[in-house]
Amino acid sequence: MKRKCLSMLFAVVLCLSLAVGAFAASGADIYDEADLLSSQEEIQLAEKLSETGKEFDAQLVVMTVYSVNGNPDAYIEEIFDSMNMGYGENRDGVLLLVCMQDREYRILSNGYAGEAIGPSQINAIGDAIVSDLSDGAYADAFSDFADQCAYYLDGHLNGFPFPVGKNLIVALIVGIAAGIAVALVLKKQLKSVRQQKQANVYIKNGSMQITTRRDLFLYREVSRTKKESSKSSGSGSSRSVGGGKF
Amino acid sequence: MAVLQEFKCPCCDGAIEFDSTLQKMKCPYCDSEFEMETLQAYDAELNGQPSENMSWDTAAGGQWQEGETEDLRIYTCNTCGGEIVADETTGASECPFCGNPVIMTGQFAGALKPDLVIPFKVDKNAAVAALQNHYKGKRLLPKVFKDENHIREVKGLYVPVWLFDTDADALVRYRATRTRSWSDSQYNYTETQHFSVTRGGGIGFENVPVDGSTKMDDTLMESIEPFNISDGVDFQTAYLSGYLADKYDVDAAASIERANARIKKSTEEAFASTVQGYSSVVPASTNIHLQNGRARYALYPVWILNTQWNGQKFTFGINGQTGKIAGDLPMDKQAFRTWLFGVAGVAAAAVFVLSYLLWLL
Repeated sequence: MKRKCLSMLFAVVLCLSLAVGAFAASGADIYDEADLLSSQEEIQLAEKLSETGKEFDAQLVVMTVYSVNGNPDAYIEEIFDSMNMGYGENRDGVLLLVCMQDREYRILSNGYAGEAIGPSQINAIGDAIVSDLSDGAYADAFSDFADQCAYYLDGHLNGFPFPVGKNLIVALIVGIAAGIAVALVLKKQLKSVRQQKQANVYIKNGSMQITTRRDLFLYREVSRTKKESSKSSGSGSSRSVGGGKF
Repeated sequence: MAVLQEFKCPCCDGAIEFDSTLQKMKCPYCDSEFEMETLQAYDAELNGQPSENMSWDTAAGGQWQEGETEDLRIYTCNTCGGEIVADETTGASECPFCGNPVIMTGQFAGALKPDLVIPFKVDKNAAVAALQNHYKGKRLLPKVFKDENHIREVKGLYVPVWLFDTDADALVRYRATRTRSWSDSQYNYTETQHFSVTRGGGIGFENVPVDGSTKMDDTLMESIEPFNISDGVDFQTAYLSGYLADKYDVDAAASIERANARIKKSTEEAFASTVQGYSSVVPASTNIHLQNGRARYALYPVWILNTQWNGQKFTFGINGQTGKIAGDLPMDKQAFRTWLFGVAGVAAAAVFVLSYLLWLL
């Protein structure tokens, strides 16, 4: 009897610990409901997401689903909120949602991660992962997602590295333009023979008399161009959502 | 029932028709609509323009007194065919246009006597200084050119010039536009109003010069303008002493075209300055009627230097009255490249360093 009790207790403890283990493994950072990853990939990715998340104090979550009911933008917010994702009081975190039926992906950033990864950063992350998603290289795409998030979060916390390439191109363009301008100005100095188009200096002083003045209105043209609509998103709130098709 | 009218659309020049539903004239090509009165007035503008008349009395120059040209000799360049005049005491050994030797071909005869001459005011030293100054600060001028030059050989030359005086009666029609912009919540609008603007009146020109020598580059002569005619005096052969003179080989009648072009352009601009309150003004047609047009024959003082470099000929002219200099200089291609890439490199480095410093802030 005693033995039976002990074995039952052991079984309960085992079940509990397994459940907690399972929750920790799949519940924390990766939900592969669409089964896009092998278990090996899943383990590696979970580790990467968790390590990166801890490094920057923002939970990075990847979720794949077959379908969403309705609007993916609303769905990702609902998921993020209902599952109480994100670290800390402000729930700092980034969620990547991949929906296979519509071939849509969405990225939601919240808390300080929402400030670090705004709409333009979400677009940049989307651009970085969309080709891998299209090619079916999901593990690569999710790994890139983690790297990109790390880049922007690190940049937000510690400052971005000096963008050498971009500045070099700008400097070269400005330099060449300045070189051409200076060389042309110097070249123009050599030319002093020019035809005179007018004879203004030979007009007799005060000789001009206007006797006929007629200003006749002919017609009017009206053209219209559509205004650029300037949508401002992320107005003060520290949450951004964006994405697209793959 | 639509009634056809013979009018042209001011907008596209297409035949325009009366649209009975609009009770307006409507162009079938560009859909512009006009009031009937507008078109009638516009048509009257077009048809009312007088024909252009730019004729001149070109009887310029006088006859020589007997014995007046006795001391004048004519020299001919065998290389370029230039004919110059110098007095007996001055003589001439080199052609001022090409630098080759000239030979005396005889006593000066024929041609017209100039009505007036502007005597030299700038002496040879000042002319040499002006040339040296002209070379200064020109970074792309080949060094060899500066070293090899023979600035001292600058020659004083009286250049024959036709001077045209006239009173112009002009009727100029401009196409003018006025634009305004506004916007509502969805669109930005731009409205362009088109006008036909007419200005008529008179304007006087005096002493518009045209180079009367084919050997002397017309554009170079125009580049060293203006000469101040108030210093002009009646011609005396004594003024030629120490200087060379070029004989005119383009007569007044042949020079008018150039004077007319400049007078026309100036008239358009002067009248356009009275067309105000528009955002753009473009001359559409100009009719000029010239009256009291007369030409005079004058000699203008010019210091001239001809030089060869790398097989190319370079001519410099200095206004003998004001010292104004003109003359295109050759370019050192290597120096051009050095400056181009040098400045580009330095500027690029500066911008890069600056962007890094801004980034550090």
